[in-house]
Amino acid sequence: MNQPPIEPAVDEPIPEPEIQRAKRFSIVWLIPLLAVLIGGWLAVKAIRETGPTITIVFKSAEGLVPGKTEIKYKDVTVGKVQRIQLSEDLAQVLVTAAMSREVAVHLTQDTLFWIVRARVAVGEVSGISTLLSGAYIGMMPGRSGKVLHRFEGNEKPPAIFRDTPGQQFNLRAEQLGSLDIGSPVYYRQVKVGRVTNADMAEDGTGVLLEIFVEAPYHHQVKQSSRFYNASGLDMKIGTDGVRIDTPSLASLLVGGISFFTAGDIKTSSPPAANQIFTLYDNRDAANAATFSYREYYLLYFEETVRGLAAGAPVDFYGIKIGEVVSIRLLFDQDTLTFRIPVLIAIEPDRIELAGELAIPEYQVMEKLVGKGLRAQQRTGNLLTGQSYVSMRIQPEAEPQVIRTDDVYPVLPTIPNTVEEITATVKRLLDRFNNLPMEETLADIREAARQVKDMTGSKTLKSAIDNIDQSFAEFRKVTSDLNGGTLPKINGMLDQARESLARGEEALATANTVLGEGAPIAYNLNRMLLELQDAARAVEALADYLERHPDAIVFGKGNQE
Amino acid sequence: MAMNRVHAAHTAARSGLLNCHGCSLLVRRPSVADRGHARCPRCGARLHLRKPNSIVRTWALLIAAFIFYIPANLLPVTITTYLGSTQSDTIMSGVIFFMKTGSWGIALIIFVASIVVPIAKLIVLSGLLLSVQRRSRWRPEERTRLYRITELVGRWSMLDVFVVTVMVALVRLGFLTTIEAGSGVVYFAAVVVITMISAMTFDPRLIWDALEKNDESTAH
Repeated sequence: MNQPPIEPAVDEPIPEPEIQRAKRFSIVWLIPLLAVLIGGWLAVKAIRETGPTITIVFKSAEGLVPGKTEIKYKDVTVGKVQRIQLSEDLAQVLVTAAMSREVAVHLTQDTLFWIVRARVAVGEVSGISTLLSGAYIGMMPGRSGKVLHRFEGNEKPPAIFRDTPGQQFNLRAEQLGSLDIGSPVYYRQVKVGRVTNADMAEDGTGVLLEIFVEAPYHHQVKQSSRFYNASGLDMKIGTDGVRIDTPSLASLLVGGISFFTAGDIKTSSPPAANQIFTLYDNRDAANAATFSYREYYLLYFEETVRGLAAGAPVDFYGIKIGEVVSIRLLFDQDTLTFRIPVLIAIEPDRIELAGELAIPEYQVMEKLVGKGLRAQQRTGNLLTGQSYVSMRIQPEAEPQVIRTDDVYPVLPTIPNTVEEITATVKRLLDRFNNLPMEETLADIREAARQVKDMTGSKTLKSAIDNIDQSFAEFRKVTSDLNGGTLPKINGMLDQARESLARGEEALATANTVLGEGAPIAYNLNRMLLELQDAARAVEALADYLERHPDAIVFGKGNQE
Repeated sequence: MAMNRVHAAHTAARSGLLNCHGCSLLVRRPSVADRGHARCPRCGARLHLRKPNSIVRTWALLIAAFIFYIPANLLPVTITTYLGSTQSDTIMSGVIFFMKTGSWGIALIIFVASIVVPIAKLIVLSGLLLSVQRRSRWRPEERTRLYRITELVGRWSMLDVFVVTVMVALVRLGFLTTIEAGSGVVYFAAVVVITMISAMTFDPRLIWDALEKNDESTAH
């Protein structure tokens, strides 16, 4: 203070300030404290949210961007790709991703990862947003198992999410057809599921399909369920006429699988674990396969089999019991004859049984053939000319047995209906030709001659002489004898005459039969029998008269 | 700069007086024991020779700013959804983005305004505080000028916050593009505001007090 204080402008003394005690702690420190709290909270949060870092192996990293591509589950981001590297052998891509903590425990063995890209197919468009935003990695959390840090990524998304209730089934098909992952599965034309996977079988002999049927419909899949490809339009002209099978319009375009349960739906048991169902090409095939047990028989036809084709039905009393499997033409070079072996398959399960089967099945067939079971080719549809094989029991058929000397047991056949008529007429004519016409006529002639001889014989003459002699003696006695004896003989002679007339008539009838070709062989037979009877009666009469000549006079009944 | 060289001049403190910050009334300096508790007899404002608790307050705010600086740079400031793809950008990734796309000018502006300036402010203020606490006599004029620049430039750091705010308000094209403010903006704004206040609480006269021979007279 080497300088004097500055004097105030006025004379007044400079006022003294008021004194106030201050708080020791400065409130300003609350700000860094707050900053520390917020910073600490952020740090803790960041650490807490940091989950495990995992590696996913993909074939290609197409569309993946490190630091940007997200891993999503149900469209919720659960991780982010941090780094993309090539594996050491350059064959794969290793994607390193930081996962959020909440899914850490779900990163187990069965966790699935796949790259979601835009997928456009008929009936389904998905992942369109990825067209603009780039691909992301989809994730399906695992359910159980060991927590892993390295996963194999899938190229394709799973069609059904794991938490969807339902059940997966395996199918085996000849070919994929128009099916693909995501193709619908129908039951009674209700969409109940979809195809989740479609792959070639390892040995290349077919296609293995996995389908997922959602709850509660998965209970409808039974052990005896038949799956068939419901894709497209199925048009068919068969013995039953024209048939068109159409599924729903969507499946017409994109294809689909339908199934039905064969047999009694209430009693069929649930499918066995790992049961592989066959996927049939169409409903008919699935239906046919309903009866898996088949018995094969050969039929030999000697007539044309035009209109008969493999797949033609084999029916019994109008009910389909099987089908034609193959038709061949067999040439026998020894006899220079052609025969047509038709192989048929009979499905015995189509026939319901009253009670238990007591004898082996082949014996049943033997017995039936013994009873007259025959196979016959028939025309089923006059319009299209389709034929089928009809099994029928003809008791009057000549007995035959099942031949077992061929590859398959051979069932006896009877000719086609038209053939049958022709054959019947021919047989009739043959029989008629074989009639003992000459013999009969000779018999008749003989009978007539005998009558003539008898009337012209000496014994008869002497008898008549005797009669003449005794006639006078007995005239008186016999004058009042009944006059019925003579008329009786007259009646007999009339009968003989009548028989002859009828023989003639029979001949006339036979002529008529011949003329018109009508089969009345039976009547003719009867007539001939009667004719024979008549001849026999005449013979008996002659015999009698020879032994009892007086019968002519006194009658037969009133003898001694 | 002739004025700046006048190191020993008549100051109020040297005269045993002090100036009320509120109404500019000159009052006699209170005794040492009463310092910090004095009030202006005219307007009732607190009387102090220097900004009260300047160093402590500045330090406190500076430390808070330092802490907030970390999340401000680590957390995203913008979350851009462009045609379904979402991208989070921190300040630095935004700068890099503009650099990569060739917008060097914009990248430079953002870089300077959002990264250089805040960090420079923090460093400058820390340096000033340290020099004052150590009673450094080193280049007081430059230090004062540094302080003035810091105070002047500090508010421009808010540019980034304004840009983000305006963008969020304007770019609302639904599915096409949406920009959302990330939580980093809040911390960044906090850094800017706190450093501004921190610069305000710093009393540049403290720089010159070290040059006074009588240390006792300049305390507070």
